Amino acid sequence: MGLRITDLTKSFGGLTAVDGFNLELGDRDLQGIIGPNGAGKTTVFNLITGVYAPDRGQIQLGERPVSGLPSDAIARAGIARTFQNIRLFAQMTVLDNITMALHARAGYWLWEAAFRTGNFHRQEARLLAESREHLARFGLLDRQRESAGSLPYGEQRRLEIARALATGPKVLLLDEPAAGMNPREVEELIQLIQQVHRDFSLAILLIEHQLPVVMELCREVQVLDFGQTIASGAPQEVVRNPLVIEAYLGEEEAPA
Amino acid sequence: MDTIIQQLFNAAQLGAVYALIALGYSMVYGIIRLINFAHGDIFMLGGFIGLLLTTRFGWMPFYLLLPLAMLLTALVGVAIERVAYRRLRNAQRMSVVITTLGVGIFLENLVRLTVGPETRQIPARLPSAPVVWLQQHLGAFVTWDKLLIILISLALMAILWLVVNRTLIGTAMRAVADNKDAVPLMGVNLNLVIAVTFAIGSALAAAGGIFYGQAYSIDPYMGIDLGWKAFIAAVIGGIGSIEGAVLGSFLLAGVEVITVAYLSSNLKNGIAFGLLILLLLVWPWGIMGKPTLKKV
Amino acid sequence: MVCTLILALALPLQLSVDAGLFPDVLNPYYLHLLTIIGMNIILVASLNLLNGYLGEFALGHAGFMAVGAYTAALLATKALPSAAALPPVLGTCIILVVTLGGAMLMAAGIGYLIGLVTFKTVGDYLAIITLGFNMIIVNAIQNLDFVGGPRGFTGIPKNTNFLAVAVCALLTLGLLRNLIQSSFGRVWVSIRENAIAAELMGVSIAKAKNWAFTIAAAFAGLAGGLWAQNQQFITPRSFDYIKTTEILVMLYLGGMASLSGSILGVVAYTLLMELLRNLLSAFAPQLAEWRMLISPLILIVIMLTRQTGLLGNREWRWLRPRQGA
Repeated sequence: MGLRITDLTKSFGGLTAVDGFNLELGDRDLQGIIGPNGAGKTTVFNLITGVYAPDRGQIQLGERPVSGLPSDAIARAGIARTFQNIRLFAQMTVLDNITMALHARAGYWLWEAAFRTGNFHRQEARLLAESREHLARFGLLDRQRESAGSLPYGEQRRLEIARALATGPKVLLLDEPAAGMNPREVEELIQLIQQVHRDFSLAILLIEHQLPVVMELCREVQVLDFGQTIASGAPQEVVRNPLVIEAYLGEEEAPA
Repeated sequence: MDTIIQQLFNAAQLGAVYALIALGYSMVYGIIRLINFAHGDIFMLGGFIGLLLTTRFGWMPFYLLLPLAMLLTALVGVAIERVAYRRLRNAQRMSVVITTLGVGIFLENLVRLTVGPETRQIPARLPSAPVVWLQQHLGAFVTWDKLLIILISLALMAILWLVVNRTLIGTAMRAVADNKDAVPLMGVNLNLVIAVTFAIGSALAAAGGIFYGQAYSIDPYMGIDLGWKAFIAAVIGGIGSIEGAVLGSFLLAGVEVITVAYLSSNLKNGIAFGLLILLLLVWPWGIMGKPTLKKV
Repeated sequence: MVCTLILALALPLQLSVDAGLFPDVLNPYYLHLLTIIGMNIILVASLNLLNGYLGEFALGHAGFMAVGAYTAALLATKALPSAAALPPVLGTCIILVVTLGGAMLMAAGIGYLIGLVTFKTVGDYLAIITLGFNMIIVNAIQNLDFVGGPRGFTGIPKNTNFLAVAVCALLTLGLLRNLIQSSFGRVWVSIRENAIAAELMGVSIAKAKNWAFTIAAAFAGLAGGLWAQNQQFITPRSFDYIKTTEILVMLYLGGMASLSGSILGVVAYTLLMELLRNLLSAFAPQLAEWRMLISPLILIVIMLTRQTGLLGNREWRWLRPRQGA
């Protein structure tokens, strides 16, 4: 069950942040969006996840239209994301960050929680076991009692991805996961994303500023500039496109 | 006809007092995004300082007494900012708000314990004769002190407008309101700007307190009720905007005077708060306030 | 464990004071203090749910307390027979269950409605709006003649004693602890930590908040119901913004997001106030009233020096979850 986006458009005031964006993300696809700063990449994610309502256009998850739904409903429909600036529940433990993500499958009522019924204890034990198993997959189990905010940066990124996956999404949106990482951490991240893509049956859409990450991971990329798609296709071809080179050279940072 | 004009003047007088308080709320909020819950009590304190000056220094003419009381109250306002709020400027916002609550209660109890809980009236220092011209031409009974209170208040607001829009410190204040973090980079003394804002707000509130004490009465707890209503007025007009605070104040006073005249005086607070809640539900950020874009 | 211990102590304590045993040590004054502490714990712990765990800034807790107090007072005086007409212990129990249940339901209903209409508001504006509702509730009661209007509600039977308050306080703490340490509690805290992330994890913020508001209001109503049947006389003014602030002082003194802190805050504040009163009236009676200046000063000093309160975000062991397996 993939993601299909047609003619997605959003303006803020006079500025068109995203203009006629299209995307065909297959079942277990892995695609990327690149582009200079301020090109509208994060806005695309915000539109997909319902943070902003689109002015125009359709977003379909499988057969189901999700554009216009509130964020929480879209999340429950099966779209999870991470954030450019990490948004963990900093004061909660690493474990609770994951267990919280299982809230939709808690399996007990408020009164059962208040009075600690047998069902509550059973379900809670199940949630705990699932969370620990999940943490173990991401190598974070020995950190479970620490508060999420105290983890080193790279592990915070990993925890955020783990948390997004804990909701059981069909589509995972990663917003600049390699931002602020050193080359060794980037290498680990690439392996992590490949592992996630292999182990979980889902589609991944990736925003990234660092071209090597996209080159290595994505089957197909789109290049956004000033809200418009200026090129798309296989990463190796796209980076040779003169339009793309110009868009990137327009700012200080040339493509690596 | 004549009663309507009289009611109009009543509303204008009440609205003027609300506006003098509301301006302080609005300016402080505009500049450091802080709801200063103690501001209503600064207004009360201003009234009591006025009372003290009138009773102790009976010889002092009103045109000296009013500025002196405003100055003293301004000093208190600045001192409170310095002692209690400045250290919390970068703390969690709610900590500051709670501190202002504490300061407010402190002031209420301080005045209650030193002066007593009784309701008092500031001895009239403005002429209380009716304005003959209005009586003859419109048949309305309006006293000089009422008219003077309205006029002085409007003059103070005009001065404030000039200060904010036509002076260097006013420009700095508007700059801080626009972007607090960028301003120190440009060589503006942030502490000074904030202190001046508190001084001006407190001075205006003191004028309001004295006028209120002359027109009605003062007691140590009046800051709660009136402070809240002035705050509502500021929100109605769009908190952070000077014109909005004045507009909202006269609007609220009008609604209140009509409620008292034609419904029941018991309902006036309920209606004021009802109005506030209704407004906030329709415009969660206030009428003039801009809805902030979620940053993700 | 601790709960059983406290109950095991509370019962004989109540009985021996009632029977007038050891009048020097166990006089009714101490029991009265403990009763006040118990009711305040209910208020502070339930407000902690909103301000500490959910991370909102609600300023209308005394309003819900008023709803509970007046509901219980009405039920006790108008709807139910007096305790004298019923069998001794059982009768009082039935009356308490009905009046307190009614108080909780009514307050929960009002809390639910307020939560419903304020779902869009956050931060400063939620503070204003909740305080506004507090004032409207007080103003409305002042305009209701059949509950005494501004003069207050008199002649409420004294159905509450220390034992009943102790049971209610422990029940409140236990239920709140259970909720906080469940999926519901994790969702509330996640909203505090990062509302946008929580929403994008599929949390309906409006719904989660409304549950918290309803539950907190219900417990405030419970405290109000106990209060009315303990004081036997209530006025609208005793539930205004000053009362809300007093609850806030105890909450922040004890610490946010900590039930242990709520208990400690209430006990420390109440004892401090009583101590000051006794000291001042013993040594400087003319200054006895000056303790009213102390409570706001405490609040200011806490905020300036230790914003997390005495026990912010920490719990005593008996209020902590059992970390299983």
